[in-house]
Amino acid sequence: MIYLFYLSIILIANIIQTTDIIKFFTLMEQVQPNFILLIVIFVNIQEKNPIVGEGTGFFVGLLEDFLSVGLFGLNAFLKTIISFVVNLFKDKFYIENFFFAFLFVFLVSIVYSFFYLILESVLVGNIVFWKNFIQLAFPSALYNGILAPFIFPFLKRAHNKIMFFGKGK
Amino acid sequence: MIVNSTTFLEKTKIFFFNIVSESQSFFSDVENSIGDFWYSIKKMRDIKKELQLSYEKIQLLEDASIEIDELRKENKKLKTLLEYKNSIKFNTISATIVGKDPKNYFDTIIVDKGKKDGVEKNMPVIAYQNGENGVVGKTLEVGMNFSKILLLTDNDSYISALLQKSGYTGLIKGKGLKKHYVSFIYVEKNALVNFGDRVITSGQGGLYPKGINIGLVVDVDNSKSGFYYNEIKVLPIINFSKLEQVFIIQKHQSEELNKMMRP
Repeated sequence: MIYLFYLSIILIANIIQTTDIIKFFTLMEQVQPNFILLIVIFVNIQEKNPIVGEGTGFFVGLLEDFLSVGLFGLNAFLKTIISFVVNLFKDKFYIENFFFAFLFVFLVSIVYSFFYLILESVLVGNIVFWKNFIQLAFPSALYNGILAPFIFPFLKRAHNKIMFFGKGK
Repeated sequence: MIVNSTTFLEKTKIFFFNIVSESQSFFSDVENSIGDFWYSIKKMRDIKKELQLSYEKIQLLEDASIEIDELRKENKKLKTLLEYKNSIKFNTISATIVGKDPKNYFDTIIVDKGKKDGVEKNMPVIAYQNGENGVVGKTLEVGMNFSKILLLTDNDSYISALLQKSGYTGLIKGKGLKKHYVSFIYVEKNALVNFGDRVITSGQGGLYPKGINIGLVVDVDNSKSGFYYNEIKVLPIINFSKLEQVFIIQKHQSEELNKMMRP
């Protein structure tokens, strides 16, 4: 049941990210939040089993790789690594707190984007690292951080309800 | 005497008849008023029901009218696209945009046509907007039913182009980062470039047919010394945020292109 919930939110995030719906969340015509990454972070925070979290990261990244023109496999690789990092540090941050949720998601997003852009620009060379990092990745990470304290409690409530009903069955 | 008593009786009867009939008339009026009142209440209820039904009908009609308007617009749009498709001299595949790259760093879109429909890698993609055709980009990756299109605004996009007025050639390069304009580079300084000058595909390189609109000059940067202009900013003819339908050019021959170039 809980896996169905994860799958649903992954699909919703993917639909938002790859269709015109994302325009509703776009600031200054180019800054967009990364809902897919937010969901990966959320699943890893909630999941006690790191294999499930990292598996989700890999699966989501692979899905993104199929839709993106970037280097194939880069998203799958980086999202698995980022899932591992989230699992490593999630207990060190009190994510229930508004500020820590912001900080945690901002840091994870910035690290993810940094490595993505570095690898994409070095291995493929189809994007300019600094321009993209400063103008897109940094504001997007901030945006992710700001959205996280609003989205996570809502998702957590749904997650807990499903867990509660799932136990009875 | 008998006659007198009869008259008296009749008079009395008439007197009372008058009184009773007056009161009868009064009661009848009251009854009528009450009846009318009840009738009007009942009628009011009926009218209210009828009014409700009318409101619902109006709502339905309004909805239908909106739907008809939408269908009319859609029909007009499709008719225009069909007319455009018939007017162009290339074999084209019309495709609908179904998505975009999840990564913000790339300017790519996904369309609903793939190998099954005859789409191949590196096919030019054009669109029709506000009565003009314009370059959209080229197919980058082709699946069975879907294709990824690299937009001309992408950082990795290069198109050989020329100034329609003077014929000077150069290279259109995407700026990425969701910029509204593209760069026209390697244009000789001998070329007189004015605001609003039209830039079209030059046909060099063989990928894009000659003569397709790219955009209009919006700014000229002549700050650096050298043989070429530093940068000419070109605003694409196609508004990518309003793009819904595109045409993938299957093949183009020089003869057909020349025909298209003729006024």
